[in-house]
Amino acid sequence: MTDATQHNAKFDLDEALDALSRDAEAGSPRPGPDLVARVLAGAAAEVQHPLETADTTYQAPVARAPSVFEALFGWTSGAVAAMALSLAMGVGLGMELDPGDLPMTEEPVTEQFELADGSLFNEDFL
Amino acid sequence: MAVTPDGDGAERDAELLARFAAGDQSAARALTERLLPGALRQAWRMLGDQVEAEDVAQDAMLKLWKQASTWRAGEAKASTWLYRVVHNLCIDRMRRRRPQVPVEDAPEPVDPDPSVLERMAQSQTSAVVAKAIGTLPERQRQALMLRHFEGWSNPDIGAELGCSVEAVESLLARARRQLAAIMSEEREALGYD
Repeated sequence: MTDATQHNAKFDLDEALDALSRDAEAGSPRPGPDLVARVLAGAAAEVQHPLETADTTYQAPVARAPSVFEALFGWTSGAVAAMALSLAMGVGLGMELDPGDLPMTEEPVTEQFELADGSLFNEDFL
Repeated sequence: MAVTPDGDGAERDAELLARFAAGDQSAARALTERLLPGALRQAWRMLGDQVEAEDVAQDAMLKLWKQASTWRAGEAKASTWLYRVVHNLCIDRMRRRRPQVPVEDAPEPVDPDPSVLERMAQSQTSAVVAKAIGTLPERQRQALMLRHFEGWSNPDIGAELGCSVEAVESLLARARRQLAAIMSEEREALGYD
């Protein structure tokens, strides 16, 4: 301990406060490498970009192969196109089978179809 | 020396916080170099225990990292914000040290602990000054410590203590008068004229 009694100088409060401040500065611990590493590890954990952590927190649905219509027009257009195609096939089949050609008999329906339109239900077709 | 909440330093801290929030790890290192020593020193002065002080400093810095993305530059200075966080964390630990006393009956923990300051004094004069600081009323002691030991400006001290700059000047003047009175009694024993 250095003693001020050796100096017999005028007491200066500012000097005394400065001296104590220097003592406190010198006597205080400084961050060691371990503490700095822990603080920086905390920073690294906090700064993780959301996209980098998504792999562990979010599983994307498994991709399925798109249909031809979806590939060409997108899924909504593909769905509409598929419905339109189904409708067209239905209309086409309805035009082929004219109800007026079906006699109102007790014969089995299959035979009546064969009689009405051989092109559709004949042996070659089936 | 402590990282003082001066204008340039505050702007630099705010800029570094913004860079850190954007994912720049080098900004975290720069902020650690600037702010961690002061946080550790403050915690050490309040707690007088290095392990506890390191835990508090680490916790405070972690809170700063968490705050970075929502930090509003200009509303608060990182250094003063960190000082407040360290202060509160230390107060929590000091209260937990005395579990046998109900919280409402326990005296408010002192910031800083005068005994810690006395332990750090390297001369007889410094030891007497440290002891004298311990006798000051709480707000006078806080103002004096922030001014002389942390290097804060009077407006920053006022913001921290919730009072005007004039009130800070008054606190500091009264603290100095009381210290001068105490030291005049000890002057002869210390060998001063």
